[in-house]
Amino acid sequence: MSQVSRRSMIKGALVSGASLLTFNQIFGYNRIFGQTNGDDMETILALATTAELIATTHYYTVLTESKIALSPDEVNILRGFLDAELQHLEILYANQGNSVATQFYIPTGVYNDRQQFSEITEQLETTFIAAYLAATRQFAELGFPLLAGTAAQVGAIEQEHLAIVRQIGGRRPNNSALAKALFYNISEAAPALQPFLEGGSGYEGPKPFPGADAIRDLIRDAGVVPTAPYTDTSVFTQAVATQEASTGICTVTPRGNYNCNVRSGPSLSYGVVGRLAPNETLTVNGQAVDNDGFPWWRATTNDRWIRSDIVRAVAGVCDSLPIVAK
Amino acid sequence: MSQHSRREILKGGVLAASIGGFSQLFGYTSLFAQDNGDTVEMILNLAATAEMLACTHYYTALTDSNIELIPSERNFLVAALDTEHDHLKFLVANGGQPVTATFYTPRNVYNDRNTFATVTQQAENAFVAAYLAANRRIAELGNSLLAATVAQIAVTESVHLALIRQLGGLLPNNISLGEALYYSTSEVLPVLKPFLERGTGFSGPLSYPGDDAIVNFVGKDGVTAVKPFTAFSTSGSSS
Repeated sequence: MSQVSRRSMIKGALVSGASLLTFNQIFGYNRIFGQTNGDDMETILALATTAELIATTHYYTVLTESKIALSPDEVNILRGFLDAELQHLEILYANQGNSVATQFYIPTGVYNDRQQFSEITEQLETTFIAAYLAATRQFAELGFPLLAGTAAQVGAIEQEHLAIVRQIGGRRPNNSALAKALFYNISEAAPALQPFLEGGSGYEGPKPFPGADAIRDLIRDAGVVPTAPYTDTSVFTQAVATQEASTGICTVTPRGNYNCNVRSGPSLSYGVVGRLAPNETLTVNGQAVDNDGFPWWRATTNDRWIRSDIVRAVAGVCDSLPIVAK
Repeated sequence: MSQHSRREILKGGVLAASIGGFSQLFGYTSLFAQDNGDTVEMILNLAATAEMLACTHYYTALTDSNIELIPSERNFLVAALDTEHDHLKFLVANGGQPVTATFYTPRNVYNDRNTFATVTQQAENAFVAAYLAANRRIAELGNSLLAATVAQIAVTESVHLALIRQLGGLLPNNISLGEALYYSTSEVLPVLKPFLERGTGFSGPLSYPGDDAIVNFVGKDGVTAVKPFTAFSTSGSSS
């Protein structure tokens, strides 16, 4: 995970001239509100990055300026929140996410009252989670499974924050069967974020993003363990390489030191037409399931079949083979 | 989300596990030797099995445990039970079939708070990772609504993980991202296996208590039902 200094974070990530433009102008309502499935990658990453900057500013402020009497455990928890949000921000920057602002407006009095802090933070985190879930859906639709997985990883931690902040407010932490799917597209989160960016009745500020260095100084030894995102493919090098190498065929060999029957069809009722010795391989390109529920692999040469549980793959991904007629 | 009685889930949903054994049902060749080839059917079956295990585990902790739980802990566990049951119903309604309805659990898990917290943390950690891998794989297969729905489940399981850590006296939030322990959901199988086949140090079996028993036990203390992404049409409107 890249380390981003405050200076490079702001220099590299802030959309040029954002402070001079309103949120509407930057995102464009036509694009944000008028679309159905049309969020582009830039919009998704910009919204997520902006949300993480709001979150880091919010948690930093409650830890440094709040009049709420937080217990030592609660302070540690909130420092963990702050560190996690900063790490999310760094992942987004590493994936070309650009924030539209670096200063934010906050509901008046939110740092003076425990209950208000809990409820406003719950609303924010609920919005963030729903936005990440929508991002997961959209990344899946756009054909980016690793980004989809990473968005879900972030959502999982935001949901922890939501639960614990409910607890801080004296409410049951886990109150819903599923994380709420409030948005189909991440851009639908824009109206919820807008007052934090533009201010308005009942909001005060703005509060500037404190910067990564100031955040690290505050977190010190109360940070959370960095976890690899799916987009860090080095973690899954073997799996990714194997997947990319899959060509729709697979090569198998007996699992043990025995000969395997090769049959004329995908069940034991078909006659034996050959045998596969322990040192031999068979290339297969299709599969079918017999009445007992066992998959059978179909050989590429002639119509010969071998039961899946008596062989192992030595190349390719057999389970991905297409289903073929028996 | 459809409602299933215990009889419906057991009758229609459990694969013939008692006949074939877990290994034979899934096929170790296809599960352990594979690389990235999980099918949606396999993912849903594994998830349904895990959820049935989770229901059985939380139900037992609440009804047959010697651990002294304070009211807020009990409240959270009741909510966790209701949540896992909701997930199970969703998975079964979408074709998932648990491979068994009986499970083994580590000895003393319901007699000792630390053992309970440690075992549950390990299990929930594996479940979160399995759902994250399912999200990645289903996204890869192009089913965006189901991918987002399993993400909804993963995100919810992560709360159980945090609160169980807290129950065990640990900081609830200790990581920056949900842990991507697996690239494929089937990689969770070694974690599940001792619960299904009685691993060393495990006792049981415990039977899934059934839908009616869970619903009756949870009573009015259940969690709010939430719409899954699969309830959206592909154009974004809810069906």
